[in-house]
Amino acid sequence: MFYFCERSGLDDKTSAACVCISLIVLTGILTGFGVFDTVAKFAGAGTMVPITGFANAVVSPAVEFQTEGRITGTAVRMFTIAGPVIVYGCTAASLYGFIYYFFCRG
Amino acid sequence: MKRAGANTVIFESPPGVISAASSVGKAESKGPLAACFDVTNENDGISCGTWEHAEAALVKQATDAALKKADLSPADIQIAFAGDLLNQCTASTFGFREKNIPMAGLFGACSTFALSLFLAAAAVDSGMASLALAEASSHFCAAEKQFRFPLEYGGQRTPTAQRTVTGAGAAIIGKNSKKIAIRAGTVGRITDYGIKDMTNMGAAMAPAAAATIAAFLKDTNTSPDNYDMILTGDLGRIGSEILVELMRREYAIDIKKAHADCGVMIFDGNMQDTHAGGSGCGCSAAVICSTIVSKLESGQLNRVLFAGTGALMSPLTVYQGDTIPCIAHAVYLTNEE
Repeated sequence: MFYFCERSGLDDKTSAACVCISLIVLTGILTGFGVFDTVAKFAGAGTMVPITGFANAVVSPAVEFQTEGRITGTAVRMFTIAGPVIVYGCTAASLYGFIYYFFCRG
Repeated sequence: MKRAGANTVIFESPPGVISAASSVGKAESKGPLAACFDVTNENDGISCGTWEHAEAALVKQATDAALKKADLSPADIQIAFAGDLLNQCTASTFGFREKNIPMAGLFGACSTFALSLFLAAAAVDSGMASLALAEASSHFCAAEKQFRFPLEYGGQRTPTAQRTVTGAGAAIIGKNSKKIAIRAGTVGRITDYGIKDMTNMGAAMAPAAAATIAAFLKDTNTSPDNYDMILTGDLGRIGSEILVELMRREYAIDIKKAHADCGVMIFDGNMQDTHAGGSGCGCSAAVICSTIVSKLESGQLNRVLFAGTGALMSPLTVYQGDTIPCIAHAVYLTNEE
């Protein structure tokens, strides 16, 4: 995927971003069509630990709870699994950012 | 009706099972008991917009099939005891919405069918009703949604986890059944051995099953040899092993020969990727109302002690770090011929 991006004239950084976006979109589509859980059963942590697992964690409740409406279902429930990752991920990032800013900057 | 010992009720003029019917989903229709079920659905959605309505549709299918078998109409049923796993007994409520049958909603988690059978038999024996309906249901997708993760979430299940059965069972209980009688029953006490793992219900429920089975045997002064089958609701493979071991160690009773479990029977453990087996109210309801009732009718089984097991937790208390309280209710079914 990275090779394909670079071949189409993008630099390294943009190619990396494009790869991430493609994986997220692909996971979203596979989850929506109800195929991703089968892929995850086969690939295990290979699909659940990286960014694909995160995308699946957001899309799967959004799909599941659409029967409860767009606001009270999809929107409310969308982050039930991914929410804690976002909260503590951001907290940890801020904490390390502070430590780096005040103590580690040479 | 009279009491025996500390826990058991003996039905003196035993009510009987007039008819019983089951309705199941896709995975169950591909399991070892496929041929025994009355209604098998090709897909778990059953042409309903939501999983909750799909479960209600299972309730309707089982009720209608049981009524049809006995050539009865809903107006003949004087009380129905029904329950499921969903909040506010959703599936039972919606399943009976158009039936116009006096209905008592029950919650006993996966032990609900044993409880509804017991109460229906008690209602008939006491003269409260001449015909009562016992019903329980569960739906894999609806249960996953309420208790676990969305269906399309790719997280993997542990080997101790069980698959909630998509199914419902309905039994019509009345005075004049020529074949199957409900002779006695025990309402269980809540047992809690401190298990906190929501994916290991078999281990949590086994002590409750052991306590109820031991209480029933003591109260009726019988031993496992007196029964063709001691059937538990949904302990699964792991819970069943624990039960046999626990009965031997704590109560000095060996039930290994007679013991069977609906959760183990309903799926093919090697082929169907159902981990430790089936679970849910619908598990024991569908198994009893299909293969067990027909084996009792045909005389392949004559004395069955059924102990329905239930884990009475809510996701809320589990998140609060609490242990899982469990319960088991026993019903004794016999062939009268």
